[in-house]
Amino acid sequence: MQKIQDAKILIVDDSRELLSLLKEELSGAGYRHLRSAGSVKAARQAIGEEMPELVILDINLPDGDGFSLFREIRSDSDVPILFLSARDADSDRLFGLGLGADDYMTKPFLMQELLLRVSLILRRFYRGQLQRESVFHLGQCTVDFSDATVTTPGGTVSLTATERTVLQKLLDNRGRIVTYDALCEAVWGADYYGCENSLNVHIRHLREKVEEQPSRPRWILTARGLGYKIAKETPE
Amino acid sequence: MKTVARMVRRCILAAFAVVALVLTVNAALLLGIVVHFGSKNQQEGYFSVGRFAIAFTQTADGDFTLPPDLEWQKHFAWAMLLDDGGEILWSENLPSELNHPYTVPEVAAFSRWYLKDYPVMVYRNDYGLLVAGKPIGSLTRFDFYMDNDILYALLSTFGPLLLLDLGLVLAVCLLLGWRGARPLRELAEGIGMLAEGKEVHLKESGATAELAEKLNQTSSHLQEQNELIQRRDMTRANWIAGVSHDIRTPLALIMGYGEQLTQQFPTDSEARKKAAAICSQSKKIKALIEDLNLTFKLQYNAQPLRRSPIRMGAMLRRCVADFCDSLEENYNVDLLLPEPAGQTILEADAELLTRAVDNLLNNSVRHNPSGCGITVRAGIVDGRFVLEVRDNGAGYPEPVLRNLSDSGSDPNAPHILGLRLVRQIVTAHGGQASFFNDGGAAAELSLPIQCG
Repeated sequence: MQKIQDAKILIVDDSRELLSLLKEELSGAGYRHLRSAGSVKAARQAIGEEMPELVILDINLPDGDGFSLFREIRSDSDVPILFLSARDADSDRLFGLGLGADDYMTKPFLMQELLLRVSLILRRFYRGQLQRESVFHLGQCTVDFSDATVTTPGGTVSLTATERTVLQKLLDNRGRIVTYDALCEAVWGADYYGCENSLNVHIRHLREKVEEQPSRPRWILTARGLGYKIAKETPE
Repeated sequence: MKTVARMVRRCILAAFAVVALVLTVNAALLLGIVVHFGSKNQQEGYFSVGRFAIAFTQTADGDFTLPPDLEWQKHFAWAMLLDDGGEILWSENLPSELNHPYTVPEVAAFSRWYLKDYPVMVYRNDYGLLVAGKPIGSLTRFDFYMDNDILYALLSTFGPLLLLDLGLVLAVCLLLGWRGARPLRELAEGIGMLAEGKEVHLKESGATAELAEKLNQTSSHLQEQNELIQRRDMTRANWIAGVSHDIRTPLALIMGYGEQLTQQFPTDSEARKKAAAICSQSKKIKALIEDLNLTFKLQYNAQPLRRSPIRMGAMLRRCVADFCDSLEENYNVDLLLPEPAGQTILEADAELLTRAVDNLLNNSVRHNPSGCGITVRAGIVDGRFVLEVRDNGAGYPEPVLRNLSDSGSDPNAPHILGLRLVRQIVTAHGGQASFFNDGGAAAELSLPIQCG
């Protein structure tokens, strides 16, 4: 598997419409190897034919329950499994995660959130096999994490280890605000109290390397009182 | 048990009070009798046999005379004067059976006692021995004497004896009080168990049988009511859980297709707006279902708080940042976190507190569709962590504020589930939530600082 979109995903749910919607959305996100099953029996058959690389699993199924199927699958394989269920009780969530599920989402859900979680699970689980996306573009600026450099029409400069971590964290959450706390924790660990001023200094250095006009940033934006974010799209 | 001890104490005090009262009444009665007869004697004129004896005078011819105003007859029935040989020198009203000479043994016998059943008094004067007799049955005479050793022993043991008596009274009162209080203690324990919601089965015997029976009946009645309430709550919980469960999958489909349609239709097209409306309304239904479930769980204590140390600054930044990520441009959120509020650590359920803040932020957006500015401000006031969420929009409608301040629930009241949930969450953390209008909607959450 070179890209997460190459992952073989099995979706198990008793709602045919939801299966159809999920397949549409996942294929829209680039996932090409999708299979679906409406029952435990159909899921067993699909798994028997080909072991998936991710299972999205409902709990209430017409001929059994997802927890039992989970145990069956895990007895043969460590394939990552995401529970997607209408059962929202804390006890169900804790039980599912306690069994060893990689994630637990309750219905109804935001499709974008599901896609993000699927992508995160695949990235985390198949880290060794995936070719990490290492080049990002911010307008005319290109960030290459493989050699920690930033290339602009003015030339190429290197990123320090801290700048690289901060920029990576921001780009992993592109378009979303990353709080001071999350950024500081990524750099200095859980005991980050009092590091906000240092973070601001690193952000200033990053802007000097990435932005055309560091005093009027177009990419690394400040969310006042909250943190920073990388602009989602090219603001041309 | 405190009640029973108090009852025993009161019982003992009451016993002491009764003893003291009886003694006082007796003393008063005795004093009354003494005073009464003393004054009576005084009124009648106390007449002593000595006065009588020394009143004798002897005439030249050897007769004896008495002063005419002596009036000894009022006090004595008869009298005689004996010489040293026992011969009668003078007598008056002397009964015939007494009219004879007396030997020394006879005089010794009656001098402190009776003479032929007549109580007599004697007094020596210059002429002999005056013997004055009272009517038979009018006076009781005692010949009282006591060994000195016994007298001293009695006097020296009087104090300790009194103390012993008091101790005995106290012990008997304690014993009786304790024995009397035992059934009451059982009753008190039964009432205590009732107060704790436990089932009570008391023995229906003894003096408190009727009370025990009533208590058992009350307990049984309460148990039945509790079971009824539990069954009703269970039915309600199952109904809410069932409806909420069954609605989730269809809603997931509506939300999913809504998102798809929003992206498929051209920007600014009517169809896209309608698809976006489907999405936003579906999200409201999703939030409502979650609020309904949570409010029910909090109301019936089915949602245990998962307390852990939370750095409030980090929690609020994450909460507001997540909210801002999906916020339209006509809204603006300012987070003000002056120190030390930003670094305050609360022992709280992070998920629930996030939900409370999220509900307040969403409330501002929902009720101000044309946009508004929202300010989230944290501070420490009087040792409590105070969080304000204000907007400059239309404010809460009056019926909403009225309904929030009213503890009862009006089925026709405007929808305030989200705000009620905020209050429930804050209350579950031992805090208070208040909602008011101040240039827009304002909510103030005050939480105790348990740690940090």
